[in-house]
Amino acid sequence: MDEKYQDSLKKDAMDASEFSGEVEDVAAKQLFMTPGQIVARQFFRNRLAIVGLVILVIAILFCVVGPFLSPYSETEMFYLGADGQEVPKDVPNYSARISESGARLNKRAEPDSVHLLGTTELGHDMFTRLMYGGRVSLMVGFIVVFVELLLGVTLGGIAGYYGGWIDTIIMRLVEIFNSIPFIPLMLIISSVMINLKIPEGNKIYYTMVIMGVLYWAGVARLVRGQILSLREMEYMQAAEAGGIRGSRKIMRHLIPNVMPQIIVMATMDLGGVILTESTMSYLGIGTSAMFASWGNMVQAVTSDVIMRNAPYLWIPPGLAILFVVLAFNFVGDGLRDAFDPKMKR
Amino acid sequence: MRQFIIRRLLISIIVLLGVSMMLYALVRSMPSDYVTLATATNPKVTPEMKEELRKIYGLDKSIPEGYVNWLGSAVKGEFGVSLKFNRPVTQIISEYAPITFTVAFIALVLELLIAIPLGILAARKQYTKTDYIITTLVFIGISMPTFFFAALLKKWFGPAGLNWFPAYGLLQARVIYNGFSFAKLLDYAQHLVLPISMWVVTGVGSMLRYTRTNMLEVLNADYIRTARAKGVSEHNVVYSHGFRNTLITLVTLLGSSLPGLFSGAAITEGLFALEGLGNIALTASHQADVPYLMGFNMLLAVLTIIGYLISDILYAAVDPRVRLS
Amino acid sequence: MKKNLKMLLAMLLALVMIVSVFAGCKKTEKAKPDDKVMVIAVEANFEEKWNPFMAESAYDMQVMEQIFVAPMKGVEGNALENWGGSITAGEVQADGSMTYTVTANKGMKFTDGEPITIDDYIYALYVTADPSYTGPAQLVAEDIKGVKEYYYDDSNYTANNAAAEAEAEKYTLANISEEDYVAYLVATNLEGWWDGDPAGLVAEDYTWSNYIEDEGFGDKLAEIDATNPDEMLALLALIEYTNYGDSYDPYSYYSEKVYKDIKDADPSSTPVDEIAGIVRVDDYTCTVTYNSVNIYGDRSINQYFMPEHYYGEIVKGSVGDILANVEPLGSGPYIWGGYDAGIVTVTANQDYFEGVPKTGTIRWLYVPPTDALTALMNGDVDIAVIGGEPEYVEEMDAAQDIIRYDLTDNAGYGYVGLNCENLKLGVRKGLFSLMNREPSVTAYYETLATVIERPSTTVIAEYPQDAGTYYEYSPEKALEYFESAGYKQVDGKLVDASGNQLVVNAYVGGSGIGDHPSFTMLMQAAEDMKNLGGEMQVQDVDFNVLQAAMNDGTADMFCLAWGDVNTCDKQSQFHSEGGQNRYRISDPTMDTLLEQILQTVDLEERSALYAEMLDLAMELAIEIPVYQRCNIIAYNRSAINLDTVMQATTFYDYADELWTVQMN
Repeated sequence: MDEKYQDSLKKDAMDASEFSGEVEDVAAKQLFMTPGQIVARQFFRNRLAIVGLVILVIAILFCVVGPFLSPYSETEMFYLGADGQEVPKDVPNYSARISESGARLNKRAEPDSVHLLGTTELGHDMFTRLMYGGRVSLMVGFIVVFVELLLGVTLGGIAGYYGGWIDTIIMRLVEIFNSIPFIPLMLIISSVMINLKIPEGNKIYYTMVIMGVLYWAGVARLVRGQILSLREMEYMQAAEAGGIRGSRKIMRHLIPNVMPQIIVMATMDLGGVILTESTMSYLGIGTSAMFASWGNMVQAVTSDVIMRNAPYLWIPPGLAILFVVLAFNFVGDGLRDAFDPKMKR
Repeated sequence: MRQFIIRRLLISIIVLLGVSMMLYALVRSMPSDYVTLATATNPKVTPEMKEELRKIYGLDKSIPEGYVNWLGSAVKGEFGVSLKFNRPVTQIISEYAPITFTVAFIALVLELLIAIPLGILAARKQYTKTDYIITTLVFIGISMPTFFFAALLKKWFGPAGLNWFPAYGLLQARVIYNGFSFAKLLDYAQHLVLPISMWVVTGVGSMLRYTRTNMLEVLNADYIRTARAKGVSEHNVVYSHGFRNTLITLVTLLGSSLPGLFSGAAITEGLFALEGLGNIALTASHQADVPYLMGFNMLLAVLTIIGYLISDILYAAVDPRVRLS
Repeated sequence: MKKNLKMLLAMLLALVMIVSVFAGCKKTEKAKPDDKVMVIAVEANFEEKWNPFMAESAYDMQVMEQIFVAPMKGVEGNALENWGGSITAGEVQADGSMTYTVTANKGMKFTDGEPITIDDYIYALYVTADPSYTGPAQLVAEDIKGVKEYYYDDSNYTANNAAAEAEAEKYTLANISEEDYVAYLVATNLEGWWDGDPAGLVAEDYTWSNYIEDEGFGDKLAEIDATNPDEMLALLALIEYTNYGDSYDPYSYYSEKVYKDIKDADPSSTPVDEIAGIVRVDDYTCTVTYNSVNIYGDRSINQYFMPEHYYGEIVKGSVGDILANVEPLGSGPYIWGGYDAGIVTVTANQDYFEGVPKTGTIRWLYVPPTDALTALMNGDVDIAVIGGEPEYVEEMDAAQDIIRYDLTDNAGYGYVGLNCENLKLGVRKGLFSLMNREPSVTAYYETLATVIERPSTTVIAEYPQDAGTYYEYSPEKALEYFESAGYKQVDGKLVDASGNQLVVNAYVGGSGIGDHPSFTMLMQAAEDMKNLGGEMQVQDVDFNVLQAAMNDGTADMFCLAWGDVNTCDKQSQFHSEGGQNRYRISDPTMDTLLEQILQTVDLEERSALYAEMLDLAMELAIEIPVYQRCNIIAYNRSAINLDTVMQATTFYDYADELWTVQMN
């Protein structure tokens, strides 16, 4: 299929050359594309990447806009009265109704028109939680990646550019961070943090900042490696000869050239962090149960009774995670292929 | 070369010191110490008794003092007695390392066997249906939480589903094996099918991606084009010329998987009830078992650093352009 | 020569075997255990502490119970019965002391052939009384005559300790002099805060000197040499005393120090090598004397006969080697066979004194709770405790032909504890009124738990079964209680006289996913608190965090459960000096009641006192009683001969008579 595409391009080029005399016009159309255009063209040749992009747009809309349309709140719980009917929130004797003998929590209710995806183990509306949960999961990804990039690019850039003892120190730090096992570390940090009395709702964000701080090492390694090789390129030596300031050299010449790799890494990490958040929820140190995240919702699958009897509680968050992480990976992979000039066939 | 290794080893010692300090400080700053946790449900324990216990365990000392003590014994190779398991740390690790290593090693070999051919195939057929299918399938493996997959595998293939494989433990308890026998080996193998599948499914994605990307780079290199132009057969182009160069980067990847062979996978082990190093480390973290956590995590740190070193040396060995200095 | 010796040995061995075969024939056909393997599932990984002195997890202990024998054993109805010997209580003496007589049966043997005497029992007591003993059965916690003297190695312990306590009165926060306080701060380096470096940093960009100036001691700082660590420390100690005098704890430091000084200065104090209250009478009898009456003394001293010749002699102060032995050897119905690949194996002890065990081999292994029922149904395991999901009960009901199960009440109960120092009585009562317990408990346990009305397990005989609800769920009533504690609704906020909002935190261990019977109840309460204008922060945390928050007093409320309760002794919890008084409750009436209960031998009288104490606990709003849950033991019908399995009850189940359980 792609050979056909290439053929057609060649044909275009040939057609173009026939219009001799209007070379400039043609060039603007075809032959000299800006780097951005090249990347875009290459990216959109990858079907999986397009699918990924579409999924991401839908997911973001669902999580950001969705909650405004829901009639329920994230933490609202539902009860069944002694008559087995859900107790409406606006009855005057509400507290008596939900504590009368025989009143129950409306948990694990099957999907119906009132609760589109049923209710959770804790009696929340599943559909509403799914939207709020996505917000947290996506937010978490962005925060971690932002922090890790901020630290990683800065420190990796400095190490790669200045070299010498600065490089040695930073790279040893990278090794120290890489040598500390992640899960035990997060367990300990999480318990230390709760002891510092960080409110439950914000806990996950603090955790994420710390995760970003822990993850910078990988980014720094990558950036440093790239910069080391770029420094040897002719255009950098030219810049050197031109006497440009160090910081300007880093910002204007080196970082933009490392950008593609950074973007690719960031995209893939976004997916990775969402998975890490769910693993942390599994270990009891992720988002607290009062608030939803896809990670803590998908825990439901580990109870085999829910797995067998209530698929509406684990399939939706499971699919949400699968699709979004997959999408990040597709987009990242597509970007990598697109950015790398060596990969054009 | 020799000079390089020596220098790296010296630097590694500094790195290890840094790691051990950070680890010790972290483990000791957990809000509750082992004594508090272990005596929490015992109504008869008085504060005085807890103090006595702390003295016995060395938990009464401040963090710097405790660290110096720990370091003093650690350099002599003494890692102390696990508080939680009441046995020497080295004994626990050597007891569980074989099984953890076996599982991880088999999984690693399988991952390579799957990732390399499929990665090459995907690269050769970039942007075709084959590429899309391979990429999507292996990406699914790295796009789901581990426990999610484990739960599904157990449900589908375990006793509650198709009943092809056991879902927990290492051996069936009904049969008593005397010594080593083929039947025992088979029993082990059956119990390990699902956990190893977990490792492979969740690990093969990144390996395949790595192969595919590198292969793509190589296949677009000038010398490959030259080889093609010379009329070398496609098979030879891909496997003799192309793959050899991809191998360089794959080999270096092996170095960094060294710590993974011993770290175990806490979640997989937990779900399949395999007592392994990962799961024990998790229990120890919950219980603030300082000697065990220090001993185990330092082992991993040493392996990580050796892994880096091996990577660099291998890289130099397979690529003549690289000089170690 | 060597070869000959070997030959001789072989012949001797053969001879012995022949003789023993004949000996066996002569006796009336001795029963043999079945050549079968019984597999029992446990719910969590073993801790692998295969030593009765150290075993702590229920699963390690479950194995130890089959290998060792104690003088008494627990039987039906939470009673004790003679087993490998007996423990009999004597009369209460005029000085309040009471002596137990402990005996060992004659003719019992350890599985290595050594006979058992009372020395093996005394040995166990001494190991658990040793100062270097780190296991859970601390004998020093018992009020046995001479045990504290032995533990602290001080023949005048009682006198010296009393003197020390009196002396230490000087050092309570209320009484301590400035001089002593400062001396203590200096001696402990400000409780470890001071790092010994006058130029060091307290926080980022903040030196000790900055700190001293900010605390208002800049003029004093000018007078001293700010580079001399000792002078700096002295000044800092003064500052801490002046400004933060109530946030340090000089008392514990001084009481320990004072005791040590007194002991060292006491010429008549000699080392103690024996526990005065433990007296060997003859080869099979000894006595254990308590200083005061303790109706549960017999349970506390009911320890296993431990072979001293196998575990090694006690060297006082270093019993570590004894505790590190993980190859248990005892005299119980089964012999330790080893632990491999996650499976424990024990084999029948044909010389067991009660008779020959019915099943040849028993094996235990860990099966995750989600897999246990499947494993039981398809015959991988024969006996399992089924936990986790209430739905399993329905599944077992549907499979009655494969499975039998027994429901037993758990010896424990779930509660929410309140910190009485942080929360005023009115606030506590208000919180009690915000707990909608039933939907929360039924949502979690379905039919496997019931809501309880008093903070006690219902399985003990003293529990007042007819007790009714003390505080109804009612946000309106809660508001009244909050108002009684001085809170008022101002602009939709519930504030006290000085304008502070009512904020309460609650710690619960719900694995991060709210997996806890009290979780939804707390969420509802948080919602109601918000509507009333207060705030409740529910913290879903790991167990170690919960422990820490509870112990250091940051937790206002904490959700926990008491387990393994087989007595009505609540002294350690509700007594103002109780070791587990996390509620920080101090009420003289309560203290007296608790003490009275433990000294009341008559059950009916004791029950009345217990009910009175529990009512008082509700009035003081210490512990919100939440649930009493059930355990399920299930057996595979085709594997186990169920005629040999009794109906399980709370304190007595198949494991107590495992040696009689037969397989089909």
